[in-house]
Amino acid sequence: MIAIAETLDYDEVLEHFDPVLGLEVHVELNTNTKMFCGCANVFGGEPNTHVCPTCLGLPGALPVMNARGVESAIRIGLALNCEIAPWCRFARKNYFYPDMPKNFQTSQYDEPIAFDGYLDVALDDGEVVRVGIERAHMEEDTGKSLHVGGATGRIHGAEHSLLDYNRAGVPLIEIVTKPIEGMGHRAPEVARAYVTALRELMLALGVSDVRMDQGSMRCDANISLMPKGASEFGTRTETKNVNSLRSVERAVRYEMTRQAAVLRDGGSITQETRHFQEADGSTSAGRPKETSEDYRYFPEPDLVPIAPSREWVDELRGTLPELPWERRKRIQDEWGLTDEETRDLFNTGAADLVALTVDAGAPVAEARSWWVQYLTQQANTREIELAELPITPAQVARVIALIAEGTLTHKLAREVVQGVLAGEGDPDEVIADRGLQVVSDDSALLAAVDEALAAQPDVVEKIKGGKVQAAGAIVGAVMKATKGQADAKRVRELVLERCQ
Amino acid sequence: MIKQTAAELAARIHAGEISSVDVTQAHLDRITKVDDQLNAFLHVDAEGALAAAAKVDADVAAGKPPVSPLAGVPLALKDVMTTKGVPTTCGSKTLEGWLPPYDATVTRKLREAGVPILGKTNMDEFAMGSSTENSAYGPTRNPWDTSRIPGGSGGGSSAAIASFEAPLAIGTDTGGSIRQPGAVTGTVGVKPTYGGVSRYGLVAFSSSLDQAGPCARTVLDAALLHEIIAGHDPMDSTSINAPVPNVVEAAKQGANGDLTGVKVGVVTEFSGEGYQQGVLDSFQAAVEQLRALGAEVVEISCPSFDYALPAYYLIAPSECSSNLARFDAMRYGLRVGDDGDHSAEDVMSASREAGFGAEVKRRIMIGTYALSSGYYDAYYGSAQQVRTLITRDFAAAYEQVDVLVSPTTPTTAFKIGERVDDPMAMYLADLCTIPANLAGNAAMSVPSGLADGLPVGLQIMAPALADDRMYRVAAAYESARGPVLNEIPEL
Amino acid sequence: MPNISRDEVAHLAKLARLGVTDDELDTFAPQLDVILESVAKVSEVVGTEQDVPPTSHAVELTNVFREDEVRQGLTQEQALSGAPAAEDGRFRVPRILGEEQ
Ligand SMILES: [Mg+2]
Ligand SMILES: [Zn+2]
Repeated sequence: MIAIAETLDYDEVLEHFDPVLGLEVHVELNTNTKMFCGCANVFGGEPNTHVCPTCLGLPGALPVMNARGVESAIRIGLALNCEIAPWCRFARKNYFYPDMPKNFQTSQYDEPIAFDGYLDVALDDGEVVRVGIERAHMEEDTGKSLHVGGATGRIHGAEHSLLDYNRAGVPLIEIVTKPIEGMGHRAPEVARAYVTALRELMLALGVSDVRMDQGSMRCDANISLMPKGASEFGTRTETKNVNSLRSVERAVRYEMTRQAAVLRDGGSITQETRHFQEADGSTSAGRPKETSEDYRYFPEPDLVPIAPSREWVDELRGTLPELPWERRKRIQDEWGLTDEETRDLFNTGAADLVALTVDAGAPVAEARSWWVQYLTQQANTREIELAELPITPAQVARVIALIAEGTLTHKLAREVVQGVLAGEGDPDEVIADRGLQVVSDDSALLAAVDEALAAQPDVVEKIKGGKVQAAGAIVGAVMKATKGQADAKRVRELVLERCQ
Repeated sequence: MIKQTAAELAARIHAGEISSVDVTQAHLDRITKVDDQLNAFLHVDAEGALAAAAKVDADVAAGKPPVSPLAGVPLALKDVMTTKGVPTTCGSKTLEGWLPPYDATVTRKLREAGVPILGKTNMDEFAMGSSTENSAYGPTRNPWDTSRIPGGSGGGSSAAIASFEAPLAIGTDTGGSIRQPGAVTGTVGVKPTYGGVSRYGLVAFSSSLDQAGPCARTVLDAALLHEIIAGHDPMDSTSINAPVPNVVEAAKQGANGDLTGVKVGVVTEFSGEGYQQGVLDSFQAAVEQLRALGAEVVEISCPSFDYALPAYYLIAPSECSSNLARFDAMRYGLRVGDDGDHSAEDVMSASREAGFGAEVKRRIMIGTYALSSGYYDAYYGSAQQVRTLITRDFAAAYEQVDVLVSPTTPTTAFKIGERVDDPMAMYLADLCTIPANLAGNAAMSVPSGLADGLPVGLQIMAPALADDRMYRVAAAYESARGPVLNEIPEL
Repeated sequence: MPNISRDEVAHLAKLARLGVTDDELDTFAPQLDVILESVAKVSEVVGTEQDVPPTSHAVELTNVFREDEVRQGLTQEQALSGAPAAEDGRFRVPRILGEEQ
């Protein structure tokens, strides 16, 4: 069995070492068809039903580039503030593996379509870090293997494997960062924040589903440590299978503590591929390679070069939507939010919902408060995304309006919202069905107030003696008696009137 | 009937004088009669050919116009082109029994043109060779002398038309595989401009060099076939989206025998040591003939052509090492050693060992070496630079002349077995043909007579997209020279 | 430059997933050596020439694209028709030792 590696305490790691990160993210494009053939680009499906001679690598078949795949690559490059190559090519990356039908991957090598850019990434406290982008290049995905036999269903110990090439040839964009240095203890957080920001960017561009759970976004994390004060990078490891935002952070943190333990004990880091273990957040070494990789790259002779004209690139630039950070800035300015409020708004994923609630007539402050606080809590208890809560911005706006006109107290409003979330219908229906109107008839209230005063003569004495704050006990009793349907402010007024 | 040209057969079929079924059957009978002496065919598809022929006959009977100028004229297809449901082996054991689920574009165009496909012809394994001895299914023999090679890699196609098994054939030419077999069998072989004919479904040897083209007994027949298979194909990214040069018109014009105003350049590098005297004599006579037809003949030096052969033997193996990686026994093809104990990696190695012949292995290893880090620049990189130099030499030459000429190959057909153990000697057969592949230009071979009783070819080269020019010169020369195949001995 | 040893041939064969016998190593090593020796002269000629860009392709085409429209491919049956082994609509292959890349 694999021995659990020793790790160093995180704070101790940072006393001695500076982490250096490099992130490689593969994004599957959501084009209609694959990169080099007309097969449908869809997730799943009966095995080997979205295949053709080209993506099966049959003898004689040839690739033809998908125009929209190239357009998406250029748009991604532009959104990442990259230079777009005036001329670039595909190359063949030669290596044998059964999930790759041609035994070479059609990829870009020394001539990527986009290079030298950056992405501004907001951390949890609102600080913005600029991550350099080395390159964004086009390539194709592999097929999928199913390992049969053996205990775990994994590759090791399997008796044989079954291959489905539906995914083979799906367009991928590989986005590679420049080394991310100087982040200190925030390195794991930066890694997560970067992937999060990249994910938001892809969504805004509409180029990918970026479902990490389905593999349409995959992250490989290169991590190395260098002793404090050193200028040369240490040996890095590449951790694969990091397939959730949280895992990115965990994997980086774990590798830092593991590498530090090795280095502290005078050992050296092996340059290797490591696998992230979702269960315990550790990484484990892959199989050592017998021979060093030699991919024998050369220009793909079955494809011709791509030479995007200026006009084309400008046209594509014109199709870029408002990008996430631009939107963030705009909303902060328009709504007059502090950095902290802006951060909470976006971290909870509430921005769109708040905007829609405001569109439905609610004031910004109330809309924000409902979504960022109460509804976010509700989503968290249900373990779903905020947007998945079964309540619409229009319904939230209606609740806010009912509070404003005095029909609902805040407490009643929450009850109404619970009713909506429980599927009882619109706020007005919930109010009618549950009888949640505020009791605003003074005569009905006075009866309850008198009853409460009679029950607590000592309190009445205190109030009469000038201890106005003691009125709270009576108000509480009245609210209880009216099952919360009374307007507490009015009750308090009536109590004080009676005790004069 | 089988000795008629494709043009003559087409005319008679379309006029209703003879049926395509009869013509096709006559060729099938000829194959039955002589092919055990030649081994030109790897697979004969009598049923498919006769069905296609019957359809043409039905059209003629119904008074419909022919679907193409060659409708009803049967053809032999090099076994490197995929044919849906019909075996395609590329001369390799690894593909024995493989039935492609799709047609190559060339195959589809032939079917749409009503051309009955008689079968698939023998070739050097994956088109690597100059003698058709590298076929896993035994060598093809030259119908002029069955102890000799028919050239390669498309020896099956050329032997089939030289022996009247088929009036037409398709070959592919990566370094001379249409022209050199044409030369040594006394037939016409054309390598069109690269990108002129779709490569979709042509099992790749060297993607940047491979080009399919016609094999025929006359220049006009080749032109008729050229027109059918050429043209832009959206399935091939390297296919040229431009009108097909009017090669049929050029062949007809050339047949009047007048080359006044045409400038012909003789490549000075292609003579001397290593060239058989009879070949040089035949070439000299051909040049005189061109002059007699009114052409202006000048000598042209293309110094970098001396480096074409080494550049080719780096580029082609490099590309092939990658192109042939897909033959790994996982999705199709021969699988050996899958006994439950061995891993996929082991089975790949064992299957490729068993499935590939020695020449294919040699080239895969050369290519693997040339692309390896540390060697890439000196080998593959330099070879690509040589390619630039050769392209420049051609461009300079075509500023002075309309076409270039040379012998097609330095010698006549050699004996089977003579060069198998000496790869470098074998490679010399392609000395004169390779430059046109490296530059992507058009080139063809026409019979220029016999030397020591064996056919010799005249190579005519033209700039890219000027295929019509060489057809005109070839047709004029052919009309003056007369048919060479008249002298072929009976099998 | 070249002087290909048996070991190097074995290494190349491994990279290219080609099983080779000992006999083959003996014949291939000198053959590859001769071939590489003779083709090595490409570097001589370009060494003497200035400013020679590489040509990887004779055709000077660029931007050959296809519209992003679905085209009929193969059925599962057609896809698997040439497979040495198949199971549950998938290609069946021996156990894989190496890791995904
Ligand atoms: Mg990659
Ligand atoms: Zn496909």
